[in-house]
Amino acid sequence: MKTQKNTSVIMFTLIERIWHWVQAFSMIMLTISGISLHWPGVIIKSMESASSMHHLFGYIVTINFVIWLIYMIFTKRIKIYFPKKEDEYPMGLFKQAKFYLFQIYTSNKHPYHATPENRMNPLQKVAYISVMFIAMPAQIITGFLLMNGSMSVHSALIIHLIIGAFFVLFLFGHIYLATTGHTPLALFKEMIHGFEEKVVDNFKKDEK
Amino acid sequence: MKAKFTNKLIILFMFLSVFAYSSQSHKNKIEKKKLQFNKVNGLETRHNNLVKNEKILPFVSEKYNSAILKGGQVFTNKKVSESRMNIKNKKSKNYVFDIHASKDVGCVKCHSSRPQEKNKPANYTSKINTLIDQAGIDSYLGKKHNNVEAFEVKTCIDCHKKDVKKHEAWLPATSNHMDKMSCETCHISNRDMFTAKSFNYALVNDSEEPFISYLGLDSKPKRPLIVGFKANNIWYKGQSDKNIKIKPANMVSFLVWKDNDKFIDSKLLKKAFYNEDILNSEILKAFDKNNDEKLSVKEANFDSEAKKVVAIKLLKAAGVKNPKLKLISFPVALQHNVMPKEMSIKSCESCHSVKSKSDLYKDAELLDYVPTNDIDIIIPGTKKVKFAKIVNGKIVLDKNALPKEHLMMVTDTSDPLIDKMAIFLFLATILGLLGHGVLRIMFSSKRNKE
Repeated sequence: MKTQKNTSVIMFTLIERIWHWVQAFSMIMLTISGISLHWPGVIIKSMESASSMHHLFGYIVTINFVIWLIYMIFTKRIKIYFPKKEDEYPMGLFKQAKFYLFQIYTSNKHPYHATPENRMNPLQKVAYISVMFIAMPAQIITGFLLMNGSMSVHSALIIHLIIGAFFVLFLFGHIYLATTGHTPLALFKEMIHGFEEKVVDNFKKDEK
Repeated sequence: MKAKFTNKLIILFMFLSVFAYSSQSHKNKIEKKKLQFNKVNGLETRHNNLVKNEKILPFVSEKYNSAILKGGQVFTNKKVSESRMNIKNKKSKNYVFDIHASKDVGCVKCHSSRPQEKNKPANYTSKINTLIDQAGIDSYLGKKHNNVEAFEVKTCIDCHKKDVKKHEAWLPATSNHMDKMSCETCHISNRDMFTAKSFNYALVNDSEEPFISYLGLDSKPKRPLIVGFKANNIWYKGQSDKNIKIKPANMVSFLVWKDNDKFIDSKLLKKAFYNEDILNSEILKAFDKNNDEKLSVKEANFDSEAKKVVAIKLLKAAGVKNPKLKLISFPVALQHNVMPKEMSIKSCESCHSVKSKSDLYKDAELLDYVPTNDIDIIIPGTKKVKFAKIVNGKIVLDKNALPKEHLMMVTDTSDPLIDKMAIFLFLATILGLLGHGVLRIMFSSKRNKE
C-alpha cells in the first residue's frame, strides 16, 4: 500500500507542526537530562550540564505550551479536543480500544476517520486532554517550583517525577501509535508536510 | 483577518517570552551578586554543647563533656604523617590535621572566653602544635584544652565571607546549597582520629566514671591503632543556623538509669553496685565473663536480661523506686580539622549520585546491642525524638526518618518504590508495544489483501 499527500486537506497548520517538533525535541532532551538528574551520571556524566540542560528545555517547553494554548484558543482549533456527537462517548472509547487491541491486525479500517475538524479518535481525545490540560501544566508548575528555589516542596518533586515518568511512557506509546496510519510512515509525513496522506489507489479514483 | 491577528499575537508573545527570559537571567545574576548569607555580626553564639547548655545530661562531668566535644577533632599545625600517634597508613597522609592551625589561626581567633569571664580574653598560652605530639591515646580524650570554650564561637562566614562568594563561580544554585548545607559538610570529612561513641553511665567504675566505647580505634593490636572514622552527615539545626542543614557530626550515646523523671547519678550507682571500692559479687557474677574481677567496656554492656535484673535489684536496694534504662543520643558538631581547600568536596556527584544517597541515608550505628527500647535521639531543630530503629540487634539512627521538608536532595527522588514501579511500567510498555508491533507485522499480508 502506498500513500500520497492530498494537498486539498490540511491536517496540521505550520504553527502546529513547528510546535509539535519543538515539543518533541524538547521532551527528548528533558527525558535525557531528567534521567541524568534522577540517576546522576547515567547518561550525562556532569550533574551541572544535566541541570542546565533540564532548565533550558524546561523554559522552551513552557514557552511552547503557552504559544500552543494561545494559538489553539484564538484560532478556535482547541475545539478538536472537545468531545463530539460522532465520538459516541462512552462506547466510542471501547470501540477504539477494541480496534487497537484486536482488529488492527487484520483491518486497516479505523473506526473513526480523521478529518481536520475532528482529527482525534475518542481515546486520543481523552489521552491528549489529560496530557495537555492536566499533566503538562502540572509539570510546568512543579518544575518552576523546584527551579526557583522552593526546594522544600518535596511533594512537588514527587509529582514532577511521576508525571515525568508518565511522559516517557506516553512518548513511546505516541511514537508507536504514529505507525498505525495507512502505512507506518504516513502519519509522520502528515506531521512534516501538514497535508492528509491518502492511499494512492483511492486518491487516483477520487481524481477521476 | 483573524489568522493574521493571531500570528501577530504569537510573534508578540515570543518577543515577550525572550525578553522575560533574558530579564529573569539578568535578575538572577544580580541576585547572585547580592547573595546574603546568614548575617552574623561579630561573635555568634554557636554552642552545640548540649550536655552542658541544654541540661539534658546534667550528671556528665565536664571532663567527658570536653571529650564529647572533641569528636576526633585535633587542632594542630602538624601533618598527620608527622604525628607520633599510631595512625593507620600514617606515612601516606601528607596533609595537615587542620588548615587553620597550620596557618597559625589560633584558638582565640574564633573562641571567646568563658561566659563568666566575658571581659577577659581566652587564656591561650600554649603553642598550637604541642598538644598532638605529647598526646598518646590514653591522654587524648582526657587532655583538656586551654581556657577556651565552645560557648561563643565565630562562624565560618565571619572570616570567609568573600571566600563564600567565590563558590558562585562554580556551584549551581549557590544560595540553596548554602541554605541547606553547612560549610563543614564539604570542608571536613574523614577523620584520622578516634572519638567517644558511647558512654555507659549505667555501670560506673570505682572512680564513678562511665565505661566508654570508641569509634575509629582498633584496640586489638598491642599498641591501639587509630583507624579513623568518617563524619556522619546528618540533618540538624546548629545554634547559628536558621534551618536544619546537612552537617557533619559524631553521634554520641549515653546509657543511663532513670527513676521516673530523675537521672540516677554516678554516686548513687557506686553506692548500689560497690561495697566501698569493690564491685558487688552479684554484679561480678553477672558481668565479669573472664572472671578477672574487673569489668571491661564490653563486659559492662547491659546486653542480657540477667544483667539488668541484678542491676535493678541492687538499685532498688539502694533506694531507687523504679529504675529503668534509657538511651539518649545526639549529634556533636564537627567543626575543627578543616581540610585544605584542594581536599574539600567539590564534585556534584559527591552528594547527587545513587552511591552518595546510600551514604547519606545509611543508618548510623549508635550501639551494637539493645539494652532498652526507651531511646531518645535528640536532633536539634526537630520536635521528634524517635529516630531510632533496631537492625540486626543494633540500635541505629534511622536517617530516613529525619525531616525532609526543609530539604530537597536531587537524590531524594530516587525512591526505591517509585523507581521500581517506573521501571516495571516502562518494561511492560516496551514489551506490550513490541508484541503489538510483531503481531501487526505477522498479519500485514492479510490486512493488505483487505
